[in-house]
Amino acid sequence: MHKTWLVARHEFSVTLGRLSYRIFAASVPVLAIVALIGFAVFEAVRSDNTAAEGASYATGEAESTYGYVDLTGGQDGPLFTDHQLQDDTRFVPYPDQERATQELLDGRIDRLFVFPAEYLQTGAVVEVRKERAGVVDIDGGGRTGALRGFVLENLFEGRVDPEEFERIRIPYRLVTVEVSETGTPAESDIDTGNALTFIVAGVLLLVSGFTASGYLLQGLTEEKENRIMEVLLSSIKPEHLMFGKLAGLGAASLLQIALWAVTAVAFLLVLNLIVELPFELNSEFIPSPGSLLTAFAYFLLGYALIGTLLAAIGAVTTNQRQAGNISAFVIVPAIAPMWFMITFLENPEGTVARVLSFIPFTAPVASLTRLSLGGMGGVEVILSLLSLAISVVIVVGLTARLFRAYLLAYGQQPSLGNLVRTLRGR
Amino acid sequence: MVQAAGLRKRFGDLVAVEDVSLSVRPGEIVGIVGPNGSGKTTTIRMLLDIIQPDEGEVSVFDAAISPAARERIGYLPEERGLYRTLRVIPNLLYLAELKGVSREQALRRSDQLLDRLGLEPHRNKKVQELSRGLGQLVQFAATLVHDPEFVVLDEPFSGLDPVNVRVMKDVVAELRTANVAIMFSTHQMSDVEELCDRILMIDNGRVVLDGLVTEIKRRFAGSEIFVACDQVPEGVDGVLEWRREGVGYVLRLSPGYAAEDMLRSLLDRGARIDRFELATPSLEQIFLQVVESRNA
Repeated sequence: MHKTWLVARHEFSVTLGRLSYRIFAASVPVLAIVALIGFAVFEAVRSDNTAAEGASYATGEAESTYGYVDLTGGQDGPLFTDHQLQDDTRFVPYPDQERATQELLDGRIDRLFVFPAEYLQTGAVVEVRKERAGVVDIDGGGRTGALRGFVLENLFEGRVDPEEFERIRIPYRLVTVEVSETGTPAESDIDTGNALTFIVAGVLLLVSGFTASGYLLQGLTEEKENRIMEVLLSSIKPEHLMFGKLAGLGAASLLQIALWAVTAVAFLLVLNLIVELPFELNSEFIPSPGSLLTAFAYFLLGYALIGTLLAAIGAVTTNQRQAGNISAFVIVPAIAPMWFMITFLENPEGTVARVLSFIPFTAPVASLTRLSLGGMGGVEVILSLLSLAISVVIVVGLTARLFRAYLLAYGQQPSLGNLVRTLRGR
Repeated sequence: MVQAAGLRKRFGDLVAVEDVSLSVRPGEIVGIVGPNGSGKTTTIRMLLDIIQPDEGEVSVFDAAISPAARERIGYLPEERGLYRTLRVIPNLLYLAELKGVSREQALRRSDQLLDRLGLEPHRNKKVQELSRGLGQLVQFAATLVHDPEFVVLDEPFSGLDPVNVRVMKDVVAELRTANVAIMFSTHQMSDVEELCDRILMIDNGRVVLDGLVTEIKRRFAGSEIFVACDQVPEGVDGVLEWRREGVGYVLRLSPGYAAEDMLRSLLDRGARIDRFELATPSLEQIFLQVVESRNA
């Protein structure tokens, strides 16, 4: 046990010393810092613009100037007399279309709208623009928004309740409720925090866990190529060496994950101070202990399975290139659930999703995906974890045999027959 | 102290080692010699519990080999191996700790060894920055960093320059004086003659020669004597043939003619003799003779 710990500590420190690990681990915090700086700069520029707009509002200036001719008339006079500043657009009234058109041609206004006398009956508004102003109207969205605000506020603000006016402005917000086969609302066993936990665990397993497994494979083949393996095996049993390597690299991987998790939380908290987030950072984002434990179990068992299989490949191959090629046979099945993502999204409780949750190779990614979609029951989770754990125990036992048999087989590729004999303990 | 009896190991259809028995006592250097692929390294790996024998038993420090016993063994493998991207000291510390030595003790012993082997200026270099010879000395230091009581050296001098060979031989001699049991495998018979008390010759996985170096050489001495003198006098009886060798002559005696008869005969004829001795073959000659006779 003590020597397993020594190997784990050594692997941990060697991995932390690897330039590739450092770059990979630092990439997320660096990207977060760069993004925060970007947001801060963007926000500063935006607030400067807002201040300028405030000043321009005071002085009657705006970024765009739209002219309009209001011919609506009627008993109460013209309809469009107020609310002439909409965001960064200023609406300027003109008494007649001829003068307004001249101003448009002279470039003093950007656009011209004419509200005809029968506007209330037809809703028609005439937009006058220069000939060949462009095939694509790049400011179409901004124009529509400004015009809409200008019209709605002039027509309704102050004439209806504020609540009613808000409903006129934003008629509805869609809320979807799922019902079960009995017609009662279906209960969702997933909330934002738990869903995020499973998604993040799945991504981390794919990114960080597989990277650590890759380091394990690389380290093993290096030790075989460097011939230090023989020195190590004169001091430590092969299975203890394997456990130590798995533990050390797993710890390095978890450290990377912890760094990224802290970065993500800090990023959101700081971002929340810089800009207004489209969602509220509240307790919904805190995952339940059960979800954390489940995600951790899948991550750990998934890593143990993939890592041990790659260690077996490292034991029987003779160089890094060969090991890298063969490792595809382990990595590809593990990420196979990603190919069925559409199927998962459509029906996380479907046959494909269920089957993939119980095949040890695919179980970690498949189950974490289903859990994030709320499509996996507690019993299924337990059975899936159990199948994964049993397969890890079996694979560890078989890999230990390969370790004992082939770690010192420099330059000799064992035949398939020999491998089978070794795995059968003969 | 270290004993093996009836070791047998096969890899697939190949019998690598067959019925090998040996022993190494404290303060003794045993050379294990044999052609390439003869089973030397397999025998060593079984002694060190790196691989398990199919048959036979190994006892180290008078008991079946155990994790505790492994910590008292130092091993310099033929295929040198260190972490190339690590510096010298972390390499030594890690390998020492795997042998159960505390970090402080390992550091102290590393300093002593690096100083003794002339590696002090290189202690903070990465292994990949060292020459092959210096790397080999670092590996030698790693073998001894935990103060082992049984040391196995597999081709320890290959690739080393004469100065470093001398340093390493001196350290090996110091180990013997300190009552450490040493086994070393080599192709250099001159090294075996210089250092070993006993040899174990293996060919095709079997022991073909085992015993004290002096006894083996005497056994293969035959009927030749070496005489250091100006010239062999005319008409000496009992000489079948003679040839010049170095500062004297090698005389092959007639059957039934003893060395003391030859000495008397030479003196009677007025020969001025500086040295007179049995012309023992070198271990290399014995090695070749044994291997060739087996192949024949």
